[in-house]
Amino acid sequence: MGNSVSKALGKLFGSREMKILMLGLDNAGKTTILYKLKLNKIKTSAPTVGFNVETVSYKNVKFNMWDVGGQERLRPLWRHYFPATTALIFVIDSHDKDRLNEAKEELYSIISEKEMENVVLLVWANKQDLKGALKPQEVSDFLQLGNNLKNQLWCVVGSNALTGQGLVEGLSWISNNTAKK
Amino acid sequence: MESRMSRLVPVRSIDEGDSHDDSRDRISAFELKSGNGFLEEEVVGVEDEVEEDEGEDEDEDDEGSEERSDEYWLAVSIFDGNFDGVNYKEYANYLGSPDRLPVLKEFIKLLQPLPNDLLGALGKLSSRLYFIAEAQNIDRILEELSGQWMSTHTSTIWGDNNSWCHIVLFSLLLLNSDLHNDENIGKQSRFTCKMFIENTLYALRKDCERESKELSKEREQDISQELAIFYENLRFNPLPLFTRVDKSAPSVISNIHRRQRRSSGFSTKSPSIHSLSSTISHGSSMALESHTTSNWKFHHNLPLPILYLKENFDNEFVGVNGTFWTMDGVLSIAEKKESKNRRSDDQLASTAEVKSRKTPRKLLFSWLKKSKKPSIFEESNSPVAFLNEHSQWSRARIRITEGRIFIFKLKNNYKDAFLKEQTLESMKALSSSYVVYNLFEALAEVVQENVVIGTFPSSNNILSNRGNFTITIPMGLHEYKVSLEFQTDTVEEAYAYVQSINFWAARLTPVPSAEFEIVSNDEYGWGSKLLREREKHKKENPTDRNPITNAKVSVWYPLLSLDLLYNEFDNIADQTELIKRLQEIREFTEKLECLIDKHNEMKPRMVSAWAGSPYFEKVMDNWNRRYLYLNKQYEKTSIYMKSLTLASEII
Repeated sequence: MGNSVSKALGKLFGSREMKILMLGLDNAGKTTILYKLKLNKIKTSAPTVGFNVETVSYKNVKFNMWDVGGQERLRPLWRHYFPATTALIFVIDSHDKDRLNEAKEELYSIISEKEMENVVLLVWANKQDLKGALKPQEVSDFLQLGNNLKNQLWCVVGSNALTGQGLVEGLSWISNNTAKK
Repeated sequence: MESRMSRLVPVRSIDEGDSHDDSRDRISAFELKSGNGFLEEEVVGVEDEVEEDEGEDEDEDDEGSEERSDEYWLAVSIFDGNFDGVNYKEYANYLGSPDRLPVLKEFIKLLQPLPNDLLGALGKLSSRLYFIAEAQNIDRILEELSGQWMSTHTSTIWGDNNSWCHIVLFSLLLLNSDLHNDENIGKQSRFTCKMFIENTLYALRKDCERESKELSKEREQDISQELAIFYENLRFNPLPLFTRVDKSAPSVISNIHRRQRRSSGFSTKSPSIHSLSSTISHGSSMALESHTTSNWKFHHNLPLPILYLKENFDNEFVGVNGTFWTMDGVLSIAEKKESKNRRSDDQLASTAEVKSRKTPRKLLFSWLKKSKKPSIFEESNSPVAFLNEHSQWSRARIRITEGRIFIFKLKNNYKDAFLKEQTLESMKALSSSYVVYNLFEALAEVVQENVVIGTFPSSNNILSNRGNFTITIPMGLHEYKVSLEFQTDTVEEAYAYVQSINFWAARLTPVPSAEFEIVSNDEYGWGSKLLREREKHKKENPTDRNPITNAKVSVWYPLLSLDLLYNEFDNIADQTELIKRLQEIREFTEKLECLIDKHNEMKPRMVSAWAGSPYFEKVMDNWNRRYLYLNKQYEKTSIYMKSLTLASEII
């Protein structure tokens, strides 16, 4: 089987599993991203009632991604997943400038939780295909991650969930930066 | 619990992707009843349930059809699964979207009477609605459900706290995903009963803080008990998933078939192809080529989708042999011996027997040279066959057109008549095996451009005039890059093929700008702030050779990119006009030039800043790796740019 090749490589280079929480405001494009990544999913399984959960595999690393969200009162429920989370992906609609501030507040409210101290943070500046979308640098300036995040390694990647641009790059960055954990 | 479990065999459609909406479907054999906080499933005859439902609806219709709103009728059609506006799997997202609250209200009303406990209510909902949706939509549906449940269940431990029910419902759904979603990995982090209760209570307490409500110890205890019962129930009985089952059984199998991704060339050698049913029952992942790829379609005589944005000039040139648009002819293709193959020849022979004639593609394996690592960052394969006098060459008809390369390996006794055949169908019939590749990210190069072989002036070796070219096509993450080597009669001919391949590749391949726009605090040794700090420190403390910096230096790797997925799909959303793509490529090439210049300028600064530091090696390795990578990207985009520029001069 073709899998035997990747298995063999897995033995050589070691394989890892990591849990990734993908958050973001509604309409940021989380589901589209998940759907796009599904192309590369590693196994077939029966659908389960509830949230979109996908496992995708890159470079011997299994990424377990949860698409969760919802209003403020539900947020404390995610806390359970924080300690087990290796990386937080925060998806931003780079085109929706009116809600950037809301997204920023949301991001900081999550990343400042104690349990998130050691995660790596990937921000997908999504919808780069739209005219007038903020570039990754602009999104990064707006979020002021450099000034505010002291512990976490972070990275802003421009993405386009429709074409898939930036998605693999982002996961690859996570994979590169969590090797020792 | 055992007996309950044994009855719990939900009729689940295995298909998860886009499904056929047109069939009049049956409803999953679940009906949830509830009592005393426990779920009891009762498997209801499928036909019976349908009839029952229809009966109910009629009753309701009679009650007051005149006063019913449009929203009500819409809700009914969704409830009955007759609504054709969206696929039934999207019903939950449809109902949950913010502007459809009136329909959602009507829909939840249709679920009345709701069971006496929250888990029961959730189960009833999920047995009538395909309840896999986006979090925000789930949120809104559950909020409505909790509101309506609350209005009919007034004296419960939840009191009149609508928000509590909402939180608990959401928490239950999280639990269900956590315990039962096969995609959920990392078993150690799965909810235990205690964690589930703690987590839910924590959210309830937070809510109380926000709303200045009180949550007494006694109340907490009651709630904990209720939650423990829910947990036990849910642990053994996942929430039922409403599904439609297609009437024709084979479609289920074909659905499975479609969902498989092609994992490696070797995969087709597995006997699993020929025992679909056994693979299904084992539920293991199979490695079959996805339905969406060209090769699968080609081998199954399905029409191949258009890969590019067709423009006016394309009509003029496509099909004209000898242009950028089309190259068609008989060439030699190198047969590669798989000496490095992990499988022994014996194994190959035996598996090949199993395959028989049905999968002609396998015969092509000897053509494919595998690179060592499944990485796109491999150095390009050197043209070994060309340099090796023992190389075996076979004749093959090659056609490059509309973003694809078709390769037909000719039967040994092929006749010249074959050369006149034009249709793909007739070429298929005349060849011993055939394959098609999309040219996304493909790169073709003429060997003679890089390799010059001296010949004896006296020798009249015709071989020396021949042209050779290679194509490299990335093939997905866990697969090897396909690298093919061809030989043409003249070098000019080789150039013509190469131009055509690169022309199409350039048109199809999106410009990979994402990686170069990344902003991060990740430090590889050339961050300007860090360099400044180190330079300053060195100036002030010339003796201190190793100033301690807080920055951690990471190892730089190029990021993987989308090209790993190209063979997974056959239609790309990013179809761009030729002129626009050329413009993009131009800009990108210029950007790469700048990046390379900057990177070069950085080197002396880095050397002086890091000299003597234990990080020195690491940092310079980083520099090297990035330099090589940038150069490779530059080389590729330059080639693409050249092809498109030449083509744009023609049109």
